[in-house]
Amino acid sequence: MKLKQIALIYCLLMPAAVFALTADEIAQRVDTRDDGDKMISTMEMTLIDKNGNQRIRKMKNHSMDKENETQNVIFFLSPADVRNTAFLTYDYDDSKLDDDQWLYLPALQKTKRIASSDKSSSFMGSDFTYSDMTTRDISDYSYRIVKESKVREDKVWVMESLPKTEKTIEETGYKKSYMFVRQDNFVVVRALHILQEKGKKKYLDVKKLELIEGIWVATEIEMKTTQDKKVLHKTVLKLSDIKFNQDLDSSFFTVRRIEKGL
Amino acid sequence: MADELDEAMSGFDEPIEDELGDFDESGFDDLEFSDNTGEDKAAVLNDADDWYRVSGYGALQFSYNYMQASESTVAPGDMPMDFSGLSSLKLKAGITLDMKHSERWRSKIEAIAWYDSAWAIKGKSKYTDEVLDRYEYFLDIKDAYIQGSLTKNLDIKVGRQKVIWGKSDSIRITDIINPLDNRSPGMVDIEDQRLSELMTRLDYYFGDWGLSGIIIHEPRLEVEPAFGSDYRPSDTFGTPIPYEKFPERENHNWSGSNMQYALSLDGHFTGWDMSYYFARVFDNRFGVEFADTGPVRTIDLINMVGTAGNVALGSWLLKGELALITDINYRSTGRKNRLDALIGVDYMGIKDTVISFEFANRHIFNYEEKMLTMSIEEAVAQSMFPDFVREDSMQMAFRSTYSFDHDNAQINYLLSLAFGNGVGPGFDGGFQRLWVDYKATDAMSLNAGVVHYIAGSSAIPFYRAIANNGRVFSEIKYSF
Repeated sequence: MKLKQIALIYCLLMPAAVFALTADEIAQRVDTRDDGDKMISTMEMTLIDKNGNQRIRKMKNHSMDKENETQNVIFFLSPADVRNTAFLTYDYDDSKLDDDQWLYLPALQKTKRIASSDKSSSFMGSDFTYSDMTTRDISDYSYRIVKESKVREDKVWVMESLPKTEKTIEETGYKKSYMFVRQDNFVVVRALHILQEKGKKKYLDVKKLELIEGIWVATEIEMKTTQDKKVLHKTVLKLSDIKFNQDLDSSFFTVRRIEKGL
Repeated sequence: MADELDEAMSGFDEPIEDELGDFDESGFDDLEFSDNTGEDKAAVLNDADDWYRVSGYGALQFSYNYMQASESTVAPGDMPMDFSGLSSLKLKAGITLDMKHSERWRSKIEAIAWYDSAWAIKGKSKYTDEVLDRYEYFLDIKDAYIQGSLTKNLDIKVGRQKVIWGKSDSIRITDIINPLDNRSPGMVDIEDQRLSELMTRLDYYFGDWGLSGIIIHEPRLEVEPAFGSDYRPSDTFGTPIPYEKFPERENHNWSGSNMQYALSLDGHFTGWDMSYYFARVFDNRFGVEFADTGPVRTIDLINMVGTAGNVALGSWLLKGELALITDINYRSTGRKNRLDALIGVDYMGIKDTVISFEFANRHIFNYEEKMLTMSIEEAVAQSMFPDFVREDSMQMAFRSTYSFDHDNAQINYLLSLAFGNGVGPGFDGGFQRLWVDYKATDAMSLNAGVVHYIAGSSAIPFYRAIANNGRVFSEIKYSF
């Protein structure tokens, strides 16, 4: 008991810096944060061009963690001409392994394998890329804490994230990123991505963060593409009907299931 | 470094309270535009949980022949028909009813119909009944099936449906189950060409594999171009066919002997997929037999064993298909076997771009020269019909698609060429098509393009006969 008291006093007197996390440790904590499993949600993406014209894409998303991968099925609900299109992904934690991706096209009634290690293409025409929609392998980046700051009253670390290889830059399209990591829950609430194209940047902003079944979930995210301080395009992604620990197993994340539909 | 970051940070909507340095907040508002998420403007369709859903489209299609000379003499009996200028002004509609009866059972009915007013505009009396019958109206039940799970691993699907085999996108090797609508070859993509058939299909799943057994009850055949039309002019087979009327195709009734069967085994694995196929289905080639009533075109059943696979390597998708077709009834010689092989590649490493190349070879075993060289006069004199096939006939397809404007627009290009070894020059012909798809709104889409047919110089006359069918085309479509 006495030893414990001494240890506690010692800890309280020590300078805060001793307990500060390193950039790599923060990245690790972000990566290992509990983001739920066997999740079903409805996604609504609003694409807004510079003239204010809007397009809406609605999807039903299902995901499940396996030992070294995340399996994901997205069924497209609208607009009408893409309804019943479905996208199955096995996203491997090891970035050296390419994801397995199959796309079911209802007009063709055919499932097509997609081979693309390039994840810099737009996801459904939005400002999000395929790399934004999948998990990053944290070992592909080097991290540095730029400074501490606040976002909407919450203390954050501003972290610089630099791809270690040209391959990662080519695959994601991002040559550098700054991430704003909330210090209380290790959620990235903002990010700034510097694109390969000169003067282009992307701003990710979590507008709404909710605690659902004990898990922090970004339920409204805005991604804005800018060039030379002018907004080119913007996407608002909203998640609703979020449920964790649903009755999903491996048989759901199959070509059979995407061909059958929702 | 700090300057770059500070300047960049000004792009967020709300300022960041900076504890360590100064911030330039001047840019926040400048970077804003409408914050409206559009919920009140764009229609969000019914939830996926609804038990039924009605969807559909209406479209206006236009095409114009820029190559054909007016008053082309192409019809039987030298009836001059004019296929120049306006080729099509079509009103088209489709409606689909999807029903989800339970978690295990669902059904679908999809019907399409169109009316082409171009014939009325140009004067129906100037065209044969066969042309008008084939090109003026069309009504089709594209799909009408019920599907469900009998057990955890066993599914059933009964009704009119399509079964798509193979890994290729532009050339059919193992994709032989459904017949095609070939009224305007080159004008439509394969997705709009397949015709559904009434089938019973059972699928059993185990591990990474799925085993399908299919019985095709409906003896549906290809929808052909009308004889005398610009896609089957009377010189399609060389010199004009010595018939007033193109021989009728024999009708296949719904009998046990006309039943078709298919079996497939499909596997999906990390980085690659593999399929094995067997089918006994109707051939898409015809012969002519001479019955008491006159010549009749006949269609035979063929057997196919095949395999198809693909491997993903980075941004490359390598594709391969192999099909051994037995018992093909070549009319000039008798039954022979043929081996069809395809290799292909898709490249997706360029942002928003897909490039695809496919090459196929069809090799006839125990080939005889007269299968290519026998003319129609010689064949008819011997109560036969010419085959016009090479020992090795080759086909290549190049396809490229580029998406831009946030996937609202696509530029597509397709080049398809046929050639091979055999007597005389080897280039048979082909076509190329360039078109643009544009989504004006979530519901409204437009497309426009041009198709150009390339005349070959070989003994096979088909592409030469349709070389003047070049068209510009457009469509406006409303989907709901």
